[in-house]
Amino acid sequence: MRWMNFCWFALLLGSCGRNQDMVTELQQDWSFSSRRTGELEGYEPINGLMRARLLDNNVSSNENFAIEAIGGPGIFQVRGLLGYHDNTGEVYEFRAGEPNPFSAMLWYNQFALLAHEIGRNCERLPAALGSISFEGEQGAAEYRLQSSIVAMLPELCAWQQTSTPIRNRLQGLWMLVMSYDAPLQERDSWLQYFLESNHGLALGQERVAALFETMFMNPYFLLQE
Amino acid sequence: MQLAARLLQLPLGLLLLTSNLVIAQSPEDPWEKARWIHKAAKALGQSEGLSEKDELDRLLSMNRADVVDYFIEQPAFADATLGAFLHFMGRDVDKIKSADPYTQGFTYNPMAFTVPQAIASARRVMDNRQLDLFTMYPDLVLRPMQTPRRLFGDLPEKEQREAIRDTMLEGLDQAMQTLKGAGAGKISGCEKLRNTLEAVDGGLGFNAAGFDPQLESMIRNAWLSALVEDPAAKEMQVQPPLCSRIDVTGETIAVELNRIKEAFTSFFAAIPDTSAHTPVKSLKDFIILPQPPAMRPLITPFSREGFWNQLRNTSTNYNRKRSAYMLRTYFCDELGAIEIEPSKHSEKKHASDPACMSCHYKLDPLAGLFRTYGTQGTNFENINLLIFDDGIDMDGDRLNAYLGSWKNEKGEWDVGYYTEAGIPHRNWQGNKLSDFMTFAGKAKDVQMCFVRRMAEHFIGPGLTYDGVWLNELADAWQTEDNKSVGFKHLIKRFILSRSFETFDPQPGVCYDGPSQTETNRPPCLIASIVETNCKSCHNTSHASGGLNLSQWVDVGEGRFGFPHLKNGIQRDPKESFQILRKRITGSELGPKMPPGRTIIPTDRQKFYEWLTQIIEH
Repeated sequence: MRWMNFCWFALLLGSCGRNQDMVTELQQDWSFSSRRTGELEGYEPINGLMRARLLDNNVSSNENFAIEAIGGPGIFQVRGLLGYHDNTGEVYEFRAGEPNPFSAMLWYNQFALLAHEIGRNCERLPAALGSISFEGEQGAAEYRLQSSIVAMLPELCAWQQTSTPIRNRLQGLWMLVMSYDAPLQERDSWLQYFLESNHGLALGQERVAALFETMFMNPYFLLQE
Repeated sequence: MQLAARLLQLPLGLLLLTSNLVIAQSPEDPWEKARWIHKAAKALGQSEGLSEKDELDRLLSMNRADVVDYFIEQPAFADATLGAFLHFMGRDVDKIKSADPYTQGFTYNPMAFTVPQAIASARRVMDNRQLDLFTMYPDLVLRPMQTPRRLFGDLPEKEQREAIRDTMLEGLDQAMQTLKGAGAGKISGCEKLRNTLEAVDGGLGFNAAGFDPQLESMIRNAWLSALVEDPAAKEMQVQPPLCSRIDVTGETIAVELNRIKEAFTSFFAAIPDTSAHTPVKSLKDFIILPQPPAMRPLITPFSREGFWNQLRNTSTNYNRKRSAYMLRTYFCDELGAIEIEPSKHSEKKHASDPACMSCHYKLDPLAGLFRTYGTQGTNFENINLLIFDDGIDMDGDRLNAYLGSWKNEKGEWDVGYYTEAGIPHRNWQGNKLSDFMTFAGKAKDVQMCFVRRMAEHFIGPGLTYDGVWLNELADAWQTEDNKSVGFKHLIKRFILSRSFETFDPQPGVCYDGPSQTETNRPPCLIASIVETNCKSCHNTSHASGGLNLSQWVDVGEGRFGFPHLKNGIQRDPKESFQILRKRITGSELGPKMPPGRTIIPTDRQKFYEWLTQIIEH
């Protein structure tokens, strides 16, 4: 489905203005032939993944995490475009599953907000780590990252590109977020970009945000198997 | 577009299938094996895939069959099983309930009528008890629905339930006191009970927007209203309310009330804590409960709260909406339109137009099973009145004409599951809705549909599955003594299949085939159909009409088709396909095929659609 690849390509080029070089390089590394061509996961399954892999499951407020709500009321009103289960008819249907430029843009918007907020933890070092807050659909909402991610943040905020320990740390971060959803080549391309490319991300919080953003936007994370 | 792509890929799919050239991920590659384990874990109930507790190193050292067994033995397999049965019933929900951002409460998916059956079946599988797909265990219906809305402000979930329980028990105590006050006088006791019911309604907020409708149903319609007069509930009760029975005394009602109190207490005591955003996963605790508290049936499979509300009838369309649901759910029949030649049975009947007949010949007789069920599922059998959900009523001659549309010339009921116009399925017996459930529980067509739905659920919905392969799996499942164990084996076969193993599978390609395949086998999409219905007369040694449907070969210029000779010369494949399409839908060129035997409607439809695609592309 080349049209879809094009959509993703157009989306990333068009929406990641500040990280255009990064996107272009990642794009070159991707192997289109092995990419998934499924439908969007939809916001409910993505919320499940976020709660399980990113957020502290001992904090009850995290149960209310909703990716569709963190962009404010405007985005929330069109959350159906992110993909959803519709049980209102005689039979179940999954709607808005086929990715298109607009739904991809919406997803990018949500993920960029989330990634940016995770990156903002670098500003708060050494205290108050692990908290992310948004002006959600119903006012301010605060969530807490899981401890394994929190423990990585100081190092990720300050990491030097070529140091060996950070490679292990980045591999660990990939496993936490992506698990085995993607082939190994995806992880290696991601590592290669952040460890070897001149991505021009000077600030720690920008780099951390980019780490998460690129994983969230990976089709193996966002699309159904 | 996708259909065209599938067609173009058919020869490739065939090639891959028959020559075993499908490239499998190497099991020796640790990452790829871990990826497969991760995928298997997700399919088998570990919704987020591999977790730390799964000891990846140990799993990597196991063979794949053992890995599947490991996950099937986990409690979370109940989630996968429940999800699978929900899928079969037409409800692929990820969540039973979801937070309602507008009311500070929860909303439930309008799927209540599929949940009890799914839970009952899943529970059987988990307990390794005999799996009877269509046996209802209605006492389980409310369990997934138990968590109330935030009726008492911002109290935590657990305290919310406790508050409701306390309110309810208080109401019941008041009712007991009422009875004591009334002595054994049933009439005055019942009047006061009715007042109590209203008070309980108010206390629990039944009349306020936002209360859990299922819990309301449990308390109000099923229990309390079983005691007192309640016009709305009366229609649904097999027995009239206790208060209206002359053989019931105040003491009897007190006993019943006490039983309700005990059941209610145990109901709440048995409910594990669940959270607002817990998906189907939360249901496993209900499923694997060894002994659910004894409760009397609260709801029937075709209930006011579910089926009837979701699938309303009208005075113009009668019950066809319900019939379409049944065909889709139990026979995987999406009612695709094909040009079926009208038969003598369809003359002068509604929708005798060929295009309409392709659906109505099976839709209408099945709708006839609902003929006496009117508004809200009320059964008007033996009553000279029928009220539809659109408010229109019929009686007298009009009602007789309505009922007569489902009778044949002999005055017999022409209703049930029909495979041809005017011809019921060979195993069909009866003329009532209950007969359908008996039939569906044993019908091979339903079993095949179930296996297909399971393949869609566990492997993927957009793939092409070889019908013979699915048939073999269905047979293997049915031959097992314990159908629950057989179900687990079925799922295991799916997880160990090439279709599942293949990441990024191509649509139109069958990655799994039957254990025995012949050279030049027809495309997997229709191979099972021609093998079952056509091959006995159209094979290599006996090609009736010059047509050999057992072979799929290059018939010239790189075009594939069936050997189809006219005067010893191969026909043009397009002409051959056009003839085939005409022969399976009508008698213009000779007897309608297959003569003298029944073809499953969905098979005829699939063959027709495949021929149409290949002719037009």
